[in-house]
Amino acid sequence: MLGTLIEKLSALLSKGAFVASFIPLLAFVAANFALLAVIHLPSRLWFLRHKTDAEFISAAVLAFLIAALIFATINTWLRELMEGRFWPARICGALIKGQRDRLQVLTDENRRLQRNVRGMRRAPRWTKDLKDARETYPKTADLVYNRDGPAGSLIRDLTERKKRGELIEPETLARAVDQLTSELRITPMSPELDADQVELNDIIRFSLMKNRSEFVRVFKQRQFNFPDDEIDPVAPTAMGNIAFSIRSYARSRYRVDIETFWTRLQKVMQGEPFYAVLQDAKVQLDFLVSLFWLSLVSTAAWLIALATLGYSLWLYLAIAIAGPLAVWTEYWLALQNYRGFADLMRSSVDMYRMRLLKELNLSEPSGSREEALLWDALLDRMAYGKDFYLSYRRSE
Amino acid sequence: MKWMIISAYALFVGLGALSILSRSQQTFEFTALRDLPANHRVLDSDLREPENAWALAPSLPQSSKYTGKYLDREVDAAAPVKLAYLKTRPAFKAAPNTELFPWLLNDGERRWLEVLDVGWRVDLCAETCPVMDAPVLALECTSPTSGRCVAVLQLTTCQRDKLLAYPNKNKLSLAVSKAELGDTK
Repeated sequence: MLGTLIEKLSALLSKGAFVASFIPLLAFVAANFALLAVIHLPSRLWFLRHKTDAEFISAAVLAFLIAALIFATINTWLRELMEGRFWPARICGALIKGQRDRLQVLTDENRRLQRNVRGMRRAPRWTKDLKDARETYPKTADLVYNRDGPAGSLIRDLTERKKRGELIEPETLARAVDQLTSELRITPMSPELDADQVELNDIIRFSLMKNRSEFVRVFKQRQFNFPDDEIDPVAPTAMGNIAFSIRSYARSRYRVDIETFWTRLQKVMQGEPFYAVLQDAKVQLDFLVSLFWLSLVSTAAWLIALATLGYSLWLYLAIAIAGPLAVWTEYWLALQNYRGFADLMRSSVDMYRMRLLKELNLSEPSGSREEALLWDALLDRMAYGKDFYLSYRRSE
Repeated sequence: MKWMIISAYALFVGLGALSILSRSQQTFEFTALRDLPANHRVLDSDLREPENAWALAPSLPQSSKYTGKYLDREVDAAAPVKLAYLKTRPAFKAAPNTELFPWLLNDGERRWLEVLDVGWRVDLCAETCPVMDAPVLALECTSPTSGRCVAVLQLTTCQRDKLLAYPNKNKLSLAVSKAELGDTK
């Protein structure tokens, strides 16, 4: 019976609304009523009395359908709420400060890694210095290389750090190179000294790659989680900042105002396989947004109800622990999903903006500067109603 | 901010837990639907479910823990029937110059377990009645749910002798001569 009902109702709702709102709502309503029936005897008896009542079931299905439609309608608003919109100014202020601190940490990390990458430009010279020192003659004949000396100890330490995949600062490497160069210059070659030179060259190569990859990782993290420019506004939540990063990307790369042009861009993308991928990502995101809010509301409702009317401490503590964990996990998953969705949105700007210009009957710009000017002009005309001349592409 | 939210949540959960702990000290008890005499064998039909319309996950005693047990005291109608009042065997004593006589309730007479009560008076009759107006002191069974049951009667010496001398004891059957219906408040 439930299968038939779901099939009939799914025909009334779009696929997106069905997956993103109907299914989560159905699951949560069923779970909450089941828990209520288990812990509240009068409710259990009431459900048992009405379980075969056709009028009651019809009314319940109708009420549920209306609730699902309302829930589908407010899904965007719920996501915006997660992005930090519509919150009281004081709370927003406190949260923005936290997000700015996060951004500052990332920016500092990014700068440090940028310095490291610059510092690692000395790597070829270090290798050459080591080689030259090795080939310097004469050596002090009675000297023997001590692997436990300053150079050897430092190289052992760096080898350990390399094994652990740790980042090694260029300054530390420079010190190791200086110390081993001094040794190589005066100490006759021995298998230990040779091995340390080979090892240090390996460490230099590893650090070169590691610093670069870390720099790219942190840069991407910074880029995909926050607006581009440090002076751009910061949202109160991580999700809000991912949303800002999309706007910031389109604006900084092409001067496209994504909020103004997104609907038009969607029209251009319709029918493309890429648009289906984008839609699927959006449905997944909406599904997780629904789960987050339903978990949050259910947990809060049960905690308040049990705290005021409950008699089972274990049930209360189980909900007090499992509820927030579920909410946090769903928020985290939604955040991951939003990152993926944001990337698809950025890609759609990259790939379809020229088609939008064509659709608007405007000539393709000849270069990036012309393009930036054109999008600025379009924004002024479309969003702010400024009247100035735009030449149209001649129809072929 | 994060720690402030976590602290506020922990405080809320702590206060809720304290509130539940203090509330859970209160136990839900079945109440008597009518006046129940001492040594009464408790039946499901004697008990009213505890009033717990708003309680979530209350620890309710099971009515099976009550039924088939014996009250060690009188319980007024609407008063709680506490588990502490219940005993596995009735405690009774014959009055001076009387004797206890266990009258075995055969399968046809087991219905008396649902009807008879302590304090009622019964006759044992066939063509004649060797025992008349004998008080019931208890209805005792070997187990709360099944097994053999007897109606413990208090007989005078004369009644006992008449009963023992009666030739067709198998034909004797129980009849109520006086019922204590009590107050059902």
